[in-house]
Amino acid sequence: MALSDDAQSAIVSALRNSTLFAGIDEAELGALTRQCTEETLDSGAVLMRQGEDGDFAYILLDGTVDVSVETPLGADRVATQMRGEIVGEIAVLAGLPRSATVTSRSPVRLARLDKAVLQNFVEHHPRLASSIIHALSVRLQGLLQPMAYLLQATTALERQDASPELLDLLAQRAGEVTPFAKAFARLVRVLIERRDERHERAIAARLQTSLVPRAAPTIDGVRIAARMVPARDVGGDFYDWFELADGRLACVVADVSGKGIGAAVFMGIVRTALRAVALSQPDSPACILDRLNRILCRDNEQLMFVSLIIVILDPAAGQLEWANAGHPPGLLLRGTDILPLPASGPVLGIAADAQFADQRAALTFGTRLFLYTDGLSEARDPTGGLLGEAAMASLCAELADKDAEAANQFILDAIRRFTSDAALSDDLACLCMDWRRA
Amino acid sequence: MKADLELIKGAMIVTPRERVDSAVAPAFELIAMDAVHRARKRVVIDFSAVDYISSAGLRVMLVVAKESRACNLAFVLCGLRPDVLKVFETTGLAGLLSIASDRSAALRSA
Repeated sequence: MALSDDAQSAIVSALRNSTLFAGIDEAELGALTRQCTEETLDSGAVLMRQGEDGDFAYILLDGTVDVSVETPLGADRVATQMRGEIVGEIAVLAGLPRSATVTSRSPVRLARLDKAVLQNFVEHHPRLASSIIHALSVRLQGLLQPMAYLLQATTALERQDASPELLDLLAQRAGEVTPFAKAFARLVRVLIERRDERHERAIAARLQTSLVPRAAPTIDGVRIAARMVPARDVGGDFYDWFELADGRLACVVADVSGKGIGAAVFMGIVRTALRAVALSQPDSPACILDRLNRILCRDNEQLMFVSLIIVILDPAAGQLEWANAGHPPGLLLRGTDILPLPASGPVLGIAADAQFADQRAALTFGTRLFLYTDGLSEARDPTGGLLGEAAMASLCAELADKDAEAANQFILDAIRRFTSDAALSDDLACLCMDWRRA
Repeated sequence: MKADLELIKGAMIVTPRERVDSAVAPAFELIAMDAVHRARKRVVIDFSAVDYISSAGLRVMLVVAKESRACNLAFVLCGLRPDVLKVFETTGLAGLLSIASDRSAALRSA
């Protein structure tokens, strides 16, 4: 289609504004213009496609086009070009495949410059070659500078001190890769947030570990070892032991409903309230549970609860006394005898008027106590089969020649074998106490 | 969380179709609470397709029981398999919640 006068002057002004054609005189540009053909396209038409050979360039006479880069993950718009701008000339002049796909956003009027025309023009104007090199260098620099910023940001991220200010600077000065820089900045922000969360979970885990006792009991003849293995960073299972003012020793294993941070917070409350109750006034296990239960039932909007077994060793009276609030039965091992210590009341925190009963047994030398949470007895094999309380008792029958620490390790190893080393789905805690002649 | 919901003569019946552990407990709570708000007479949780309930699942039952009481609705569990029933018994929650043997008993119970 022959070019109208206004189209010709629009093309000349577009070429004059392009750094590529700087220094070419008006008459020469006019000659080039006359070799253009005019085209019109509807909106949504593909003007050129990424990866194809560059056989022509367009000068936009009317309308707007989107420039997008396609990746295996989809297409991203990287620029929008308007009236008076040249599209696709670099690929033609440099003999490169198209670096992007250009699509009309509105109906467009275009002047088409074919490869042969442009190449012929370059042959007659050798200085155009240096303009092309200049244009490519500018484009390269436009990439190098943002790449430098991206490199800086990734390095900062590795050093763990990436700041939002750096990211803003990065996005502002990213030039042609601004959309990428912005996406990168978003990614970095998410990563920083996750890192902060991980950091806080690690602090919570340290705090929780610091809540369990480390010092061995001072009572002669008593050896205790215990393990706490949360399924996540922190958990709701815990163990505790503490000496009462009257010389008795309390051993506790408990399991708070749920998992993770919520369970860990409630676990901290339970452990603190239990010690406050038990240490303030010497009582039987059932009385301690009753008082603890009333405290936990107060303002328990969330209906959190805890199953808990408390066993109190009284060396002076030669007696063991225990109460179990909705917890799996602890095991009392004497020689080949295994006595389960079943629940004598419901879990704590739900019913303020719940009743708990004390149970007693004689404390003889060689008595071993093994307390655990349902993370052990309800471990599952790969086919979904439950380990069960009977199997727990059978495992405990194999502990005779092992000290308390080795006994815990033996049980946990057996659980791991049973689950075929699957990731923990529940928290685990266990406590083993031995009473021997001092 | 896969669960079926049915409304039979003013009773909402929730039938969870998978193990009720801490991963699905929040979704289970939403489903069961919605059932409470749509029921006219009673809420029944049918556990016949469930082979495991964790403490997080037990807590959901307590939360839903409390809401049912506040709405003057009967709240009944039914169809508990032996392993699941044992968890309710060990924790003492069997004594705090109404448990019926099967669905028709749950719909009849007071």
